Amino acid sequence: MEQQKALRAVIVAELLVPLLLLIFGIYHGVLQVMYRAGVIHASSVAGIDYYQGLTAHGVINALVLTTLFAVALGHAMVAQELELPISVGGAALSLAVMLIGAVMAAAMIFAGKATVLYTFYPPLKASPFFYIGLSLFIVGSWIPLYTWIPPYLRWRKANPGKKTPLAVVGIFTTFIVWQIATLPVAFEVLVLLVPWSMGWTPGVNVVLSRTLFWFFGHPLVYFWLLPTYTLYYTMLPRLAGGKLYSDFAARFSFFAFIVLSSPLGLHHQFADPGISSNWKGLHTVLTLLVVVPSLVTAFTLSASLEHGARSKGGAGLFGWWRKLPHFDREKWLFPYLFLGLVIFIFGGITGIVNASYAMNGVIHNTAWLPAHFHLTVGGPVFLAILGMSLYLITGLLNKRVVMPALAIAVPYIWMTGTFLFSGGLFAGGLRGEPRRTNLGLTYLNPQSPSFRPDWQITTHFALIGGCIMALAVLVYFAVLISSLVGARECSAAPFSMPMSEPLHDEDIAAVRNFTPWVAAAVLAVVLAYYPPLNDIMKSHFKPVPGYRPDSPIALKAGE
Amino acid sequence: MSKSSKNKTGVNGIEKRVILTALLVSCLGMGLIAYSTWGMGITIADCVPNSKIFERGSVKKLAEKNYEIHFLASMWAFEPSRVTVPAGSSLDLFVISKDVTHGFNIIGTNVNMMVEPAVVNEARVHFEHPGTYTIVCHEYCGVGHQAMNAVIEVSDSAQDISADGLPASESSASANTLPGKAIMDQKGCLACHSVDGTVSVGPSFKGLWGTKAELTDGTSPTVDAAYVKDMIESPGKKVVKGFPPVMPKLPVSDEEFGQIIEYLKALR
Repeated sequence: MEQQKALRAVIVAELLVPLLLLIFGIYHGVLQVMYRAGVIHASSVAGIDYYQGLTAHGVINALVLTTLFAVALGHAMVAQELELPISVGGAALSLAVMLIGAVMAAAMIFAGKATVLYTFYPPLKASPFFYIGLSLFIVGSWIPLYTWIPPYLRWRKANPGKKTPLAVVGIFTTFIVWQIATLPVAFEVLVLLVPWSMGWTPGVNVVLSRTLFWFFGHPLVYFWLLPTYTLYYTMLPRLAGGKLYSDFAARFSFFAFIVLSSPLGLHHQFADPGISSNWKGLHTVLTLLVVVPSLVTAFTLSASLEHGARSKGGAGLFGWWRKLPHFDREKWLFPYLFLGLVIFIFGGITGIVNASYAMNGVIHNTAWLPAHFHLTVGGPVFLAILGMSLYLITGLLNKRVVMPALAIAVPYIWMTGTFLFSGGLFAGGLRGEPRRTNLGLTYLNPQSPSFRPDWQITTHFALIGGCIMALAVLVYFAVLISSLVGARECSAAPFSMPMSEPLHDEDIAAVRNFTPWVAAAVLAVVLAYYPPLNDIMKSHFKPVPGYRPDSPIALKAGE
Repeated sequence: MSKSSKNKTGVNGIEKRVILTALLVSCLGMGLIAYSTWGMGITIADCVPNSKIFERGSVKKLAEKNYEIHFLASMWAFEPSRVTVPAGSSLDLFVISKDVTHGFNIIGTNVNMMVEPAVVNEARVHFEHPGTYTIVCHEYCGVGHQAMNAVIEVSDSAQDISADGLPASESSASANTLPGKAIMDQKGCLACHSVDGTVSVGPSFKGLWGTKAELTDGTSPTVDAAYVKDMIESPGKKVVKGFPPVMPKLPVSDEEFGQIIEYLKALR
């Protein structure tokens, strides 16, 4: 990658653009906790409606930031690990298509023509340009995988018998999962929603749309997580001063995610009508199988950290934790990854609650849900994105990270914030507090007949936590901007991401090739989704006309 | 990635045990879920036949302390809006949406459903103890979402089921036939302003005419034709205390305006 200056520019742009958008994403995150705690009793602040801001918060933070980061990390890791040039034209085209799509969707959101939240459940209807923008964004994110495949095949030819570098396995896994997952949502948007939004079709099949959305919506979660897992497996053990405990475990986990990420979306629809509980049960079983690669990852990473700490003289059953480079300024990236893992323990356990069929009824669509995913995508994933973006941007631009002590403080502040924020939302969810609701207008408004004094304490915990989270991002921006305006380093060593070596370097034929695992994934998807989709198509649900969020009168075709 | 020496070719023994343990944990989870479903009898939303589709809310007595309630969700209210049942009642609940996707969570129970148009959802619930149970719409359904809720009142003193906010219980039969009612229904006014006294996104029209409105700017004008005209023509300029400023601007002709005023008077 050292030779590919243009590719470096694309990567830096892919990291900086979403960080810039994040300023609004975080601003509205803070406003949301204020509305919800009843600090604000209004439907909008500074011209941005609560639900409009919530739509932008979801699209920017959960789609644009995560996807552009995955693509940027993919380019950097594939180019470095294969030591082959990758198509700069392809990378630039992908970035351009994604940016056009993101700008289109953002313009519609800020114009108030797409206040439909990032799940865009029909029959709430947005401007067609919102749907087209999102589609372009997704299509742009498909391109990179196909620009990496030719150099990868050349690499395999040139290195017969050699194992594919683990980082490449992680990145390819991420984008194979993404390719499978985005097909159903592309179908939903292009075949069902765009023609309906244009007024060419009078109505939309609501049950089918929701099922296609969640066919995408759960693997989306793994698409968020897998780049972070790649960093955990390849960089974290070395940062801890050790080796990856088992090379096989890493490959096994990645391949298992290829197979198991997609055929389980119905666990988001336990409370939906029109779908048999048999198929929901089938998807529950498949969801619980994902526990296997997750627990293997938890063990392998702990063992790798322990190996690193013990080789630096750590001892005792738990005493070795102290030998990890928690506050080492040379290794400021370590806490971004390590604390992400700590947060993820709670994100993972609460996720099992959500997926547990009957238990979901207690917390479905309550504040418990945002509490959970701020400990997954908002925990390990977000911290890895912050840390690795700083690492890549400064590294590729030959800058030095100034104020590393502050950089180390960021994940600690963020973790404190998320624990308070999510703690408040978990407790609130168990008390029935709904998610995605401007509580300040009614339930947290003493003047309203719907006032719920029992939700005050929980929403205030979330308020304090949310403000601390914003503080972490402010500190992060201080470090990032100071480093960017700082002097260029004239270091002799070219930039590279140091990769961990395996402690146990097993050579297992089953985890050498992608092909059988991708075939198994396609088979699993067909087996898990053919029966429910067939049922839905046979039910002939009446097509439903569209509605704007501000009027209960059905829209006529073309409106 | 630098190559390190191959110390083993088979899978590391400890990893093997970890994979086995993870599988056992996964199976334990499946077993617990199976127990909750078949052992404890907790059911989740299923596919209800299309023949069960309904267009109005209603309550029906099936047997002693056993009732069937049809909830119609619409932007931004439930019909019925309040149901009172005797303690010890078992309820069969059917829900459907008239427009967009809504939520239906009876706080403090296991009833938690999505409500969608063109398809019915169903749940069964038993209320042993008296209390006030709030039904919250937990899916974003537009500008009035945060005001969309209903109540199930479980009472020791109630002998039978009773409900508010049903088509039959609207104030007076004579008011219902006025053309103003049809105009307000068609323009969507009645989605936020009830005609039976239920507080929704906006103040109820029942008994509103001639009262003093308390506005956020501190004034309290009388609800008369000038006030109503002002509210319709410049929504958001004046806002009644305790309500969100979300009223959209709707074109109303002079003739329609006259009919609306007649209807409001009839709702006194």
